[in-house]
Amino acid sequence: MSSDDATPVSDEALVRRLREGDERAGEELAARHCASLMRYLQRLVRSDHLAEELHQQTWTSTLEHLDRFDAGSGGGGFKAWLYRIATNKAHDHWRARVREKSVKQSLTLITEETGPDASHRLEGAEAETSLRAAIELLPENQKQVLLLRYYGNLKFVEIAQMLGCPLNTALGRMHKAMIHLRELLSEPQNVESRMP
Amino acid sequence: MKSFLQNLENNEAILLMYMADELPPADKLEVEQMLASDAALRGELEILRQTHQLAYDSLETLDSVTRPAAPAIVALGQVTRLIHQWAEGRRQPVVTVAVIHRPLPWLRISMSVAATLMIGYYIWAVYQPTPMHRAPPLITMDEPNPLNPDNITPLPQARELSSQEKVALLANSLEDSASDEALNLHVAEVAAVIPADSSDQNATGEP
Repeated sequence: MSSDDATPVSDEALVRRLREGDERAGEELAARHCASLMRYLQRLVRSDHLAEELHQQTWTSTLEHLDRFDAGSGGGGFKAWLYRIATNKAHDHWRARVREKSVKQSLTLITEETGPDASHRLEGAEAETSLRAAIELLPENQKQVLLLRYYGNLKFVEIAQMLGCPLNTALGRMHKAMIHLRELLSEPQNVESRMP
Repeated sequence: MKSFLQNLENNEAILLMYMADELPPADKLEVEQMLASDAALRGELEILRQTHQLAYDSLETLDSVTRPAAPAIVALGQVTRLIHQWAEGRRQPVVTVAVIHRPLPWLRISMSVAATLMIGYYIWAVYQPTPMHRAPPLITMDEPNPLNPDNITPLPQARELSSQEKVALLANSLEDSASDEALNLHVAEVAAVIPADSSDQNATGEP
């Protein structure tokens, strides 16, 4: 067995090959990160349609700026960079939505965007609903750390760098997210009473 | 050398970093020694592990029962297409603008100078004051002031036409449009209607 078979090619090596024109290296990168990135966005923005749109935007932006990616710059590897772009896309969307909402509120229009996606509400099981609700009820900054850790499998140092906060803050948010989630799941009435 | 653990604020932070296996080897060893000697810290780690497991299990369960935002194959296909488009775009030849070397560079330079001079002269000429823009000449005492009402020559007095003149004027105006016979008839009718002395009286201004 060759050494290539024993150790998988790193993301950074694939990025290098992709820059040189090897499209298969790009496909390999996509295969590695597509599904988890999509799930991350799905949990983060709570809308399937929006998650799909942001997923595409993330990859488009990643490819556009691929020449700027520097694995040795200390900002984490390719995966951290990819998730940072995705997180920024989600933030951009939220900012735009907040602006849009304030305009709509000033016009006293009722928007349909206040609740979760309709497809979520229609889906079945009670356990699933309460699980999703519990995660959605987490404060945004806590949920973000938890999701980046779970879906991106990023190091805490990378998450802190990505979110622009001290390491202790990122660790504190992760700890609070876990405690919060445990409390919500141990008492389902908490979830129901706090559901919008 | 300063320990990494000293940067961490509390036990939860230390234990989370330990669980994530993100501590430097020396610090990891130190934590293991602390755990070995501290039962309370071991209990804290155990609770943290369970909580961590619960959070991860929740997310895993949720993922298993919810369909993804887009089917994996569709999402992968979209990204692959983006990659191919991007790679295709990079393969496009870079368009360079060829510099055409024209002969006789001195001729182009002299023509440019001449054109610049001509444009400059034109602009200068346009902005020169014209006679219309000059101040009106002063009126001297030798010449009569045209603005003085005394120097204005009165127009000849308007005069009322006599009846014969009116008839003649009317005949002239109808000359082009009527036949001679009809014209003579019409003139005779008009002459019969207008009294011979009324217009003459009006012309003198008497009542």
